[in-house]
Amino acid sequence: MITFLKGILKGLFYVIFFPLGIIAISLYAFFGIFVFIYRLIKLTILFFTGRNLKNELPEDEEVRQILEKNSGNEEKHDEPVLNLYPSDQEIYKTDEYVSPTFDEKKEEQQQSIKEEEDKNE
Amino acid sequence: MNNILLSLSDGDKRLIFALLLILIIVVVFIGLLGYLMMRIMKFQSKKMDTLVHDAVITKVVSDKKHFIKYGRNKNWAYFFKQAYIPMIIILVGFIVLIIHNSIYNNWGYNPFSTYDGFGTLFFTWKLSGEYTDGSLIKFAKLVLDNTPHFDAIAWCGYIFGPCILVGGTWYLVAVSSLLARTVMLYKRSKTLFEKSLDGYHQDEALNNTNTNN
Repeated sequence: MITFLKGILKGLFYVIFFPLGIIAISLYAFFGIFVFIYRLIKLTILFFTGRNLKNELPEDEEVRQILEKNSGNEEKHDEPVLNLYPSDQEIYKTDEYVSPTFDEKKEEQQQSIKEEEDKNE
Repeated sequence: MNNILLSLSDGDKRLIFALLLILIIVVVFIGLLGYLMMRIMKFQSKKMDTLVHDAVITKVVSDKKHFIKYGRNKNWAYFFKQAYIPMIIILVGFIVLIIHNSIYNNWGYNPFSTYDGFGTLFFTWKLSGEYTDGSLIKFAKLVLDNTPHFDAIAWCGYIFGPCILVGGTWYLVAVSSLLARTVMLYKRSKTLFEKSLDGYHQDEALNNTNTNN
């Protein structure tokens, strides 16, 4: 019963607002003709001045640059890496342990030697 | 009221019943048409999301005003893209009409005429001066004016009529799509940059930051 009443109310809503919708569409249709002519003239001028007919907005250019940058990064990740030492790389890839660089190793060694020397003294 | 009802003849009552039935059918038809239009427009409005999606995701557009301006520009540009084919069709129709009128030197030519226009292809009726027999309500009689036939003299109407009908309908669909996208644009502009404080408590938030530190 409630759904039936809802249907009737919906129907009444459409009947009442249908003329308003028609008016809105006709106003847009009328205004649309002028916008169409304006854009046509603009495109014609762009064509004869030898500029880009795509008529893109500055935001579109910005978006394209960002997207290209992002897609470029993704491509780099996907590139196959030459796996010389698979076992080492598997270990180093984990978040818990990061392999020390040559300089870091050297520093560690020097520190341990110093500590030993201090103890001996 | 009772007097009026009593004075009505059986013919009048039948006529009133028929009119009411026609009214109900018209209302139902308008309702269904409105429902169909709403459904189509809802479907068409989804295109707005596609048009502005990248700019919103990349945060190139980050405030309401900018979003509306950008969306409006994209919307009209897409409308131009959608409307140029129907516009060309309509233009072809008018060019044919101008050529016809200049050849026959008849600038008052009606391309929808039932004598030498597009109307020759349809059944048409006209109202006669005579009225149907009724005691209170009188209606003019409908008399058959034209039966469908092909006439070579109406060649311009046969080109102009379909061009205007097809182009016009196509253009109106593009306009309804434009309107649907505009509605969607304003709807999105309200919700997209909305900041909500539902379930937020300042003291709790401060405590959380202190404990984290």
